[in-house]
Amino acid sequence: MGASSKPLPQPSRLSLPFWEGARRSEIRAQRCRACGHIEHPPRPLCTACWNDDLEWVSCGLEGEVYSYTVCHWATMPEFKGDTPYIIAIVELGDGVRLTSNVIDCAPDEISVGLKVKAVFEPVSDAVTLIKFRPASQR
Amino acid sequence: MSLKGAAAITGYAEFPPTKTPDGLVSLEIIARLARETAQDAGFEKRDIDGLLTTTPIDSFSMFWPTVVGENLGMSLKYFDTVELGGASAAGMIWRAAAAIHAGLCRNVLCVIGGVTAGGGSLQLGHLSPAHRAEFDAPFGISQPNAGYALIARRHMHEYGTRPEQMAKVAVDQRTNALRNPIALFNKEPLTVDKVLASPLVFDPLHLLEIVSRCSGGAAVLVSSRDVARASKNRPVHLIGAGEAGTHLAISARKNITESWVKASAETAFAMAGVAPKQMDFVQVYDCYTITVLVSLEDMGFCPKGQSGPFVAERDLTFAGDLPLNTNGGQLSFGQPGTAGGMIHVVEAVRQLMGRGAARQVKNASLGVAHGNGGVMGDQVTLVLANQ
Repeated sequence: MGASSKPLPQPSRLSLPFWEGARRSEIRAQRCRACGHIEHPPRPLCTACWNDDLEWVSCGLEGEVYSYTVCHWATMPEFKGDTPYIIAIVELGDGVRLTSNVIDCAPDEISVGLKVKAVFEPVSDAVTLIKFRPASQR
Repeated sequence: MSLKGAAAITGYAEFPPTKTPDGLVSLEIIARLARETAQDAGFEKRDIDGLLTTTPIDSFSMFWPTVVGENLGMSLKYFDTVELGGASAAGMIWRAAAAIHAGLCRNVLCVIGGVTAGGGSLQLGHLSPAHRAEFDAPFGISQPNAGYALIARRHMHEYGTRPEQMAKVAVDQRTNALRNPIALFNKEPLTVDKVLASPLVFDPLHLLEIVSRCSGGAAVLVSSRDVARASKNRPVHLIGAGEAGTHLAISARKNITESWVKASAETAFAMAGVAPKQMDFVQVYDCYTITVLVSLEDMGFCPKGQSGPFVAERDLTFAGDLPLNTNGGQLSFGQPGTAGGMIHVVEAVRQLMGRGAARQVKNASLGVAHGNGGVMGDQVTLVLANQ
């Protein structure tokens, strides 16, 4: 997937630590210091207990596919040249879920439960996208 | 507070769905719907003192209810926007009933109309929630297609649901649409094979399992019990309503195959004092075939996970053992923006008024109209009765 014409995320004050982590090849998520709840995407307070004392923690880089879809007909014009491409909800060991792409994987090789590992794909000076590839690949 | 019997729907109108709006603007559609709905119910402009509407995608602006009210020359005691995506319409009905029940007003026009550029994808631009721009768009995750495909795949994984079972919903709804003169797709019957032979868009969803966007609109009039007695139509009473949410991103939901429909339907059926099996029909929000399957389970029409075999075995046509989306649903009617939710309300009312003509459900006296916004996010379930 060429990055040049793709929409880029605009990190907000809330999400900046997540994107800074991605640039350092880390998956960061917020954890509530009061109740331990951990989640992504970034929130203004803990969605479990409404405490606003949140810390950023680094998650494991491996997970498994919770669900997936293969896009055969892109409705976003910037992605028309990329079909078929895989979109998946990946659940990391920490319970954090990221919705992203699984790359280097044929459409008929993706499955629910597939073990995947993170790939860090820099697309601009400020932004690195976190994608996944099958863990069986070197 | 129970809204059981607090208000009734006394009239409706639909703007025929079209792919070629030819310069039409949303206000024109809304104006026509307002006049026709009042006429249908047998009332005049001066009889209407409430207005609920949804900001059209093509003319998003502040003060939208005010803009509509001014353009229609209305004197209003209650007016507001309801913005719950596809659940907006059903959400308007109980809000109107609540306002009437509180004595704020007596006759509330609930109207949604909009113009959508023909074909192509939904380009919401600045209207798109920030989450989608930051965490979906960079990955080609175009919503809502991707979200519903993820639900469908997970449902197949957990429960063994089959593509041909999902396709059956589109097939039976098309049979209904053949008897709806204004449905966009009312010429060719469908078969399961035809649905599965249509292009895969977001695997496992095929083109014919996904709504087609169009321009159009629909409206109903919600009236107090006193006002309803003066209507020229048989009033259709709101006897149960339930709303539930929230999430926008489907990944925020721990179990994506179980939805807020459950909570909304439980509230609605409890208020009405009836059970799903008593329903003479169900108008279920159907942006995708999978939406119908998950909703039927969560409403309690079949056990969790069993909607695949359930829809395959039941006859979902207007003459069947569970009449479902008797106007063809949005899958065959077309999806006129957020008015897509209103066509389900209108069809429920039409059936209960006995005005279903060639697709009338025999002896219909009790039914469901359901709205769904986002990716199984905002849920409203209504139970309606004609006595």
